[in-house]
Amino acid sequence: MKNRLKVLRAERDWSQAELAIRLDVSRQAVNAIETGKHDPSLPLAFRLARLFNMSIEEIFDDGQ
Amino acid sequence: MTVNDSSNYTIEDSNQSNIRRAITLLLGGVMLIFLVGVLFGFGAKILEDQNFSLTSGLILTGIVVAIAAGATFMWKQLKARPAAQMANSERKSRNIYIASMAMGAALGIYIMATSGPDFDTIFSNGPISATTAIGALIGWLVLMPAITVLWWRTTDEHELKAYSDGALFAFHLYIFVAPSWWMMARAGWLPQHDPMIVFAIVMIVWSAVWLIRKYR
Repeated sequence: MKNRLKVLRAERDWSQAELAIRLDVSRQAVNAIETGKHDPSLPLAFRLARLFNMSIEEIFDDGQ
Repeated sequence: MTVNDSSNYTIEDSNQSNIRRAITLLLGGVMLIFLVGVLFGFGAKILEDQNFSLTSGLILTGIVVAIAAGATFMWKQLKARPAAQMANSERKSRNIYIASMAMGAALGIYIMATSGPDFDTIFSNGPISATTAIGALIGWLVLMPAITVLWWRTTDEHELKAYSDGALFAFHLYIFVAPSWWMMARAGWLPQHDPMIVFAIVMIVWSAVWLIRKYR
């Protein structure tokens, strides 16, 4: 699934490790989500949305 | 490090180095367990034969030095990424992982130490005493499941998915390997089915898929 995570992270000048700490996941998890290798669960998607103060649809694009 | 700290933990594209580190840790761990086994086996043999000599002393010292050097190297590898630069769940997960490896090593050493002087005691199908079996079973059936449950409750969803993918892959491998071996043994093409070899194959494949899925 496509997402804007890398852009949103870059806008805030956060490293993957910093974002991982904020989300309480590993850096590998952040990397996997950014590159579309792992689709986050709903609870994690909501955590991301709250962190960036956006809706889930504004971060993730399922191509529909 | 706070999340606003600009100490720049810039490993954005370092998945390759993470894979190398994971493989180093895995192989290093196996080597360390092997060296500890050699130390126990060799030491027990010297005691059994009452054969104390300068040569055997030097060999024992060499093994101890190799174990100490290996353990130091492994510890530095584990600490290469400071805990402060990890999420809480990742740090706890790593600590539980280290504890389970230590448990496994302690269990292996316990079996070797209580079952006889030969290094291959742990890998053989030979008989062991009831005391050894009870001790090993407490470790394997009580402590290890407790650690596993704790790890499941701590680890993030990405790693759990990698772990589950590895388990599913390994399970399918088991489905294909175990009956095939059984059939081939009945046909006289292979020796009698050895569950521990199948177990080892399943565990190796499980770990390999887990690591690949986590760090790819």
